[in-house]
Amino acid sequence: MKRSIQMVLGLGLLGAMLGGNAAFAHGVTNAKAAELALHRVERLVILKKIEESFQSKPQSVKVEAIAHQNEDDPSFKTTVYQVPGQDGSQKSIEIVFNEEGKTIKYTVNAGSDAVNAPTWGEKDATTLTENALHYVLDNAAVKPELVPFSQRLSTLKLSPGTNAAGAPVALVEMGAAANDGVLRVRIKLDGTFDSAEIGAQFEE
Amino acid sequence: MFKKFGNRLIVVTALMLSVVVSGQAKAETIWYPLPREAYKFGKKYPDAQNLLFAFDYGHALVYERLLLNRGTITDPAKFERDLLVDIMAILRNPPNVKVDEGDIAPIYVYTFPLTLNLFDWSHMLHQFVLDVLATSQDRGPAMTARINEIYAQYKANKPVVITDVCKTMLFMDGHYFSKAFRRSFPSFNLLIWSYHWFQVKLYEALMAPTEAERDKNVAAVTKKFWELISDLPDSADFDMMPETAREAPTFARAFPLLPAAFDNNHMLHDIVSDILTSDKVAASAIRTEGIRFGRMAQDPDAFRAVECSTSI
Repeated sequence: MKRSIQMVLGLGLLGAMLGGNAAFAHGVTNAKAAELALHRVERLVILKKIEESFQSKPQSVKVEAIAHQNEDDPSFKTTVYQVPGQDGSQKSIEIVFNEEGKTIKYTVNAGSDAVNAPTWGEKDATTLTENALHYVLDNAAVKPELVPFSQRLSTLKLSPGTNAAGAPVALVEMGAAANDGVLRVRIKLDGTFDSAEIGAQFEE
Repeated sequence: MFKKFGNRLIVVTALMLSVVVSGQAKAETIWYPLPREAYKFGKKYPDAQNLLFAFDYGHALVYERLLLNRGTITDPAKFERDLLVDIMAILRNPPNVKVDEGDIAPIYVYTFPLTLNLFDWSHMLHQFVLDVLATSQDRGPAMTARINEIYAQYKANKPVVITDVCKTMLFMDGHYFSKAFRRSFPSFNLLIWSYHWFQVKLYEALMAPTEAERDKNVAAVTKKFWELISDLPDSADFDMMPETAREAPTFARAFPLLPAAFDNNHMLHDIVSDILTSDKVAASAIRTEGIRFGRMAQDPDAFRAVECSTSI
């Protein structure tokens, strides 16, 4: 009996060990799914599987949690949109993750080439957005006001902004499902955190 | 009176010097006496052990090549392809002893004196933890106590200890030179992340309760490693560096300080790769940046995470 239990435990451990290359044990939130989407975009660009503009000209990200039965089922759908083109259409990429944050598939959707995309300088738009998400993910444990944005992030938008001293920053605004406020995170152009606050609505 | 004072001065100076000298001696990466289990993992699992030796060789070799070719790499894809051919040959015919980095990568050894010592000391910890996990007859409190004892020995050598306080990923990715290596040499970067995956997964494999299961697990992890590197870059489906607590949750629960210590080591490896690749780092600044970031890896407050990133 004891031997059987040990065998079952051992097989379970083996299964857990080899279950996925980049599996997460637990705790993939909507904000984490958005961060994973940006990581995947970066990998796909590096490997030249999608256009570089997905890394340099993203404007917004949408996140949807998907009801699912099994951990390998689609659990998050994220869509990264580029800055709109002349006709208002946007190139986008949909990335679907399972419950543990492993990529299941991605789909590139056509649109016009982005026009008037901001130029960011030292860090690209994807990295600036990712660093804003890090602020949420790294601090939600001690800042309860960030929890809705970590757990239920539904959309984020990147645009040029300024900080309290008037210096240029990357402004990342985040909205969460069932939450009225908008989290504004300002990231300096070198990628470091500047400031954050919760406001009433998205800036125009 | 002055003679007596002079003698005392000499004694005090000698004492101070001996403290300084002993402090320097402690900073060296000599683990003496070696743990009784030292290198027994390799006796049991020679294929996996030799791969670990090959990784050290591979890391040193890529650092040396990046230093030697700095500023002259006009075709990064070709540079990477050539390097991969050389490294794959080493992985397929790995050394069966730990190589001395000074023999194969003298410029790297000169350029990164602190990080080299941090890596060496940390790699000994990695090795001895594997040795205990592979050979301990006791699979419960005695094994845990033994690993904690080895970890205490590691931590006692403060000048070369990497902190076990969790850092945010910005420690690895939040600098002016960050991501240069993975963007220039994506396949090689994924090879290195596969190394890290393999090391971490071995801990998890060895947490199984019976020897038969551990044998099976180590064989499975080794097989999976070869699959990961079989068709780079596509075969290694990592978007980010594998983290210990996520890849080895059983091990992380049993030894909660070790995951951060290992991850900080792995992040420092990536930082060194980025420093060597990024043209934003002046050649004259490489050595000082290596030391600065080595100190950051040791500093518990640098990029300190509010909580460790994985729920375990």
